[in-house]
Amino acid sequence: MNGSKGGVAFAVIVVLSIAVAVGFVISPQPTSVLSQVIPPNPAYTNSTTLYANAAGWDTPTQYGNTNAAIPVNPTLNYTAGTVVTFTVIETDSLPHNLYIAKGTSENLAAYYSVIGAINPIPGSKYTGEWYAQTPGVYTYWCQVHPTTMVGTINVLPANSTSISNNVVKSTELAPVGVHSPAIQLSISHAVNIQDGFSAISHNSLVLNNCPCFADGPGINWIPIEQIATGIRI
Amino acid sequence: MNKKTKVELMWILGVIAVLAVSMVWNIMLVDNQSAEIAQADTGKIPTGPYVIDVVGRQWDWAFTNYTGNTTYDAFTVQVNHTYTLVITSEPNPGSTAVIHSLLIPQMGLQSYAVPGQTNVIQFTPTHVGAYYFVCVEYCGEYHYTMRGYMTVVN
Amino acid sequence: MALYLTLLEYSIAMSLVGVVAFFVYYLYSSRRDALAEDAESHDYIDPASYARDQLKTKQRFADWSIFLYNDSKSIGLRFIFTSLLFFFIAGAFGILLRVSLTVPTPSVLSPDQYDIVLTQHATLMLYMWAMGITVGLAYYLLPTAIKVRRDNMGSYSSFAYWIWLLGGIFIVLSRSSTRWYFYPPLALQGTLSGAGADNWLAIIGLEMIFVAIMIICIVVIRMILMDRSESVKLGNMSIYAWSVLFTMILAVLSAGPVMIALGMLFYDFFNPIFFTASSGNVLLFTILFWFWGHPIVYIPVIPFFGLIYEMMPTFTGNKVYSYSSAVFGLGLLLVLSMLVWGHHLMNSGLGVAWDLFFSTASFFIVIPSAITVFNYIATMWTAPRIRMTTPMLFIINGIIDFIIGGITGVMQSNVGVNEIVHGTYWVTGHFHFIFLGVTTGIAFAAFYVLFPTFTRGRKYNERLAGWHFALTAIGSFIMSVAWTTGGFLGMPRAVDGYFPFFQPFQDTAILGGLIIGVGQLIFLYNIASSWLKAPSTDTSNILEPDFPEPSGSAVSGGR
Repeated sequence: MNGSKGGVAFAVIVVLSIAVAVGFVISPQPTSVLSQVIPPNPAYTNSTTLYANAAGWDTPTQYGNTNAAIPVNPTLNYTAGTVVTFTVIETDSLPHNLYIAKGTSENLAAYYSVIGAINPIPGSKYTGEWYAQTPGVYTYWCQVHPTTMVGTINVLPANSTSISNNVVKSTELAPVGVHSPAIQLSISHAVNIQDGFSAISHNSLVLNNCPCFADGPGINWIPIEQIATGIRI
Repeated sequence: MNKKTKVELMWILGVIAVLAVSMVWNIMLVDNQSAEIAQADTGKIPTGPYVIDVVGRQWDWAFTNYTGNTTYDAFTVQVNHTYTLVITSEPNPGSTAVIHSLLIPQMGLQSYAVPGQTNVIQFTPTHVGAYYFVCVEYCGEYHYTMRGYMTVVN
Repeated sequence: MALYLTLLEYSIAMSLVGVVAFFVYYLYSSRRDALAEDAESHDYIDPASYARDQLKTKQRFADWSIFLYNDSKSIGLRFIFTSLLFFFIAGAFGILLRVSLTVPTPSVLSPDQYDIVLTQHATLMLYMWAMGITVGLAYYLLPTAIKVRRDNMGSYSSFAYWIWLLGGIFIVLSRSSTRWYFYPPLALQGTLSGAGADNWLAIIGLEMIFVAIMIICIVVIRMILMDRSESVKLGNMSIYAWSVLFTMILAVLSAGPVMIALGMLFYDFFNPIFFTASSGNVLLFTILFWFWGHPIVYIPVIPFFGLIYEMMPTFTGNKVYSYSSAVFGLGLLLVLSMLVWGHHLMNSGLGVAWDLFFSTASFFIVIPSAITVFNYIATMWTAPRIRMTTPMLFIINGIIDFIIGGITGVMQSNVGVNEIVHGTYWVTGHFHFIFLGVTTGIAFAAFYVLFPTFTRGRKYNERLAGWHFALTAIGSFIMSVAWTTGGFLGMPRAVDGYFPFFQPFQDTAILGGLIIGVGQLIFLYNIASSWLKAPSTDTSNILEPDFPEPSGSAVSGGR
C-alpha cells in the first residue's frame, strides 16, 4: 500500500468489521451443547417417549393409544427448570429427527437438535436431553417431515412470582412488628408477561389504610432532590 | 535547596497532609458504625422481630420477616427501629445461585448476596416513606428487574 | 432444500477464503524468498534478523508489509491499527448500549442481547483497545526513545500479536454475557440468560490474551533494560520509557493470579469444585480476579502519563518541570496500584478491617496522581506560550478529565461513600472520565502526532481534527457527568431497564454517547480523506527524534 488508499482501506475494514461484529453478536444464539450437558441445578426431571411416524408424533403413554398408526402430535407441558429426556422409538422405516425451537413455528435459524438422526429400523430407540428453561411456547418437529410431524411444547413458569415479579399481593405483606396497623399495599400497573417485568412509575405506589398518611391514599416516595439526605457516612 | 525543590516538597507534603486528615476521619467514622457495613456472619445468625432474611435469587429479592411471611421485591419496616438484614443468595428452581448485591441508596446501605455465605448488616430508618432498592451486582439476563421499594411506616 | 443451499453457501464462502488465503501466502512466500536471497548476500543466516537490522530504528510507514516484518516498529504498527479497529467495533457496541436505553424498559436490544453487547464493549475496549494501543505505542516508540542497539525477539512479538488478535476474535465469537468480571457462579451458568452458551470460549480467548501480554512484557522489559544504547543511562532515560517499564513490571507482577484463576474457572465448567458454594468459595475468584483487575486499569493509563510528558514540551516550548518527581510519581503509582485491589470488594462481607485497609491504601493513590498532575500544571504554568494544536488540546482535556476522574475515584474509596456508589453508574462515570480522557484522548493525540509518519508525509485535516476533539471531549464530559450524578442517586449499572425517574440521567448520557459517536465518524473520515491527498510534509515527528546509527549492532544469531 505505497499509494494513498491506506486510509480508505482501513475505513472500509472498520465499517465491515463493525457490521459483521454487531450482526453476529446480536444474532439469535443457539443453545449450546455444553449448557445442555450440565444444566444448572435442574429442578425437575421428566421422561417423554415419542413414537416417530411420518404421519405424526405419537405418545402411547399419554393418550392410552398403542396404535402408532394414529397420529396425534401431542401438546407437551413442562414446568420451567425441567430436564426432559426424550425417547424416540422408530415405527416406520423412514428417517426422522427431533428438533425444538422457541416460538409457535419451526425455526431453522435457531433450533436445538435433541436427536439428530435415527436409524430407520422399526423399534430402534434413541434418547436425547432438552432443558426446558425459559417459560414460553416452543415447537418440536421432525425436519424430514416438517408438515406432518410438528407439535407444541408449553413451558410453564415454575412459580407465579417469577413471572409477576413486581406484583405484591396484599396477603403477602404482613404487618411488621407488633404495634403496626394492618397495611394494604397495592401497586397498580400492567404486567407485561412477555418480558416478565414492567416499569413501575413512581406515582403508582399507593398506600391504603395507613394511619401515617393523614390525607389518605397518596403519593409517598422520596423526591429525587431529597435523596442525598438519606446518605449516611 | 532551590526554589523548585521547595515547591515540589510543598505540594507533596500538602497532599499528604490533606490525605492524612481524611484517612483518620474515615477510619474513625467507619469504626463507629461498623455494624452498618456488610460482614460475613460469624456463626450465630441473629433472630428477633427486627431481623429480616433477605435472599437474592435469579431474579427477585425475597424478604422474610420473623413471622415467616415472605414478600418479593418489596418489604416493610417500622421507623426508628434498628433492623438487621441477613443476606444470602439461593437458586430459584432451574437457575443458579449467583452473586447479587442489595443497594438501598437513600439508606446508604449495601451488601453482597453471596452463595454459601451469610452477610449481616444493620440499618435504622429514620423517615417514613418509600425507598427504592436495586441489585447492583450483575447477575444475568433479568438483572435489572431485581428492584423494588422498601416501605417505612410508623 | 434449505439445508443444501446453506451447505452450498458455506462451501463457496470457504473456497473463496481459501483462494484469498493461498494468494496471500503466495505473496508472503515469494517476498520471503527474495528477502532470504538478499540476507544471504549480506552474510546473514536468518532473513528475519537481517530485516530487523535493516529496519531498526528507521521510520516505518503503515502498509501491508508490517504484517511480514517482525521488527519492533512493524509490530507496533500492527498493534496500533488493530487496536484502533477494535476501538471502532467496541465503540459501535457502546453506541448500541446507549441507544437501547432510550426508554426505561428494554427497547432496541432484548436483555440478553444487551448483556452480550455490554460484555463485548467492556472486554474489547479494555483488552483489545486500551491494552493494544498501549503495547503498540510502546513497540513503535521505544526503539527510538532508548536508541536500541539490537532489535531482538521479533518472532516472539509477532507470535504475541497473533495470539492476542485470535484471543480477541474468540471473545467476540463467544458472545459471552458475564461482563468483563467473569464472576464464577454466573460465568459457569452456560445458558443464554446466564453467561452465554459459549462462555468457555471467552475464557480461552482471555487466557490467550494473557499469554500474549506476558510475552510482550518480557520482550519490552528486556528491550529497555538490556538492549538500550550505552549512551542512554537509566537516569536520563525518557519518561515514556520509564512509564512503559513500570507498566510492564506491573503487568508481570499482577497477571499471574488471574491466569491461574481463569484456568481453575475453565476446569469448573466440567467439574465445578473451585468456585461453587458447595465445595469451594465463591468470593475466591473475585479476590484473585481483582488482584489483576485493579492493575489492569492502571496499565493503560501509566504509559499515557509518560506520553503526555513526552509530547507536552513540544507545544509548551520548555522542559518538563521536574524529571525526578515525574519518574517518582509513576513508580509510586506502580507500587500503590498493587495494594488497592480490595476496594472492589468492599461490600462483599469481607469485613471492616478489609474495608479500612484498602480504603486507606486507595487514599494513598492520590499522592502519585497529584504529583503527576501538578507536574503537568507546573510545566504549562512556566511555559512561554502554549501552541493549541489538536494533540495539545487532547492533552489538556486529558488532564482535566483525569482530575475529575481522580477526585470521583478517591471519593468512592471512602468506605461510607463506597457503600452508596458501589456498582452504580458513578463507577462507570469515574472510569470513563479516565479511559476516555487519558487513555483514548492521549492515544488520539499520539496518533495525530504520528499521522504524517504513518502516511509517508501526509497532513491530517486540522479542521476535522478539531471537530473530532471537540465532539469527543464534550460528548465524554456530558456522558460521564450524567452517569456520576445518576450513580450517586443509586442508578445501577449494567442494566437494560431502570426506574423511570432515572430517565433524565440516561437521556443525557445518550446525548453524550451519540456526540462521541459522531466525533469518531469524523475521525475515521479524516483518516481516509487525508490519506488520499499527496504527501505534503516530511515524515519526521516529535516522538521519534533522529539520532546517528549506533554501531556494532548485529541481531544475535544473525550474522
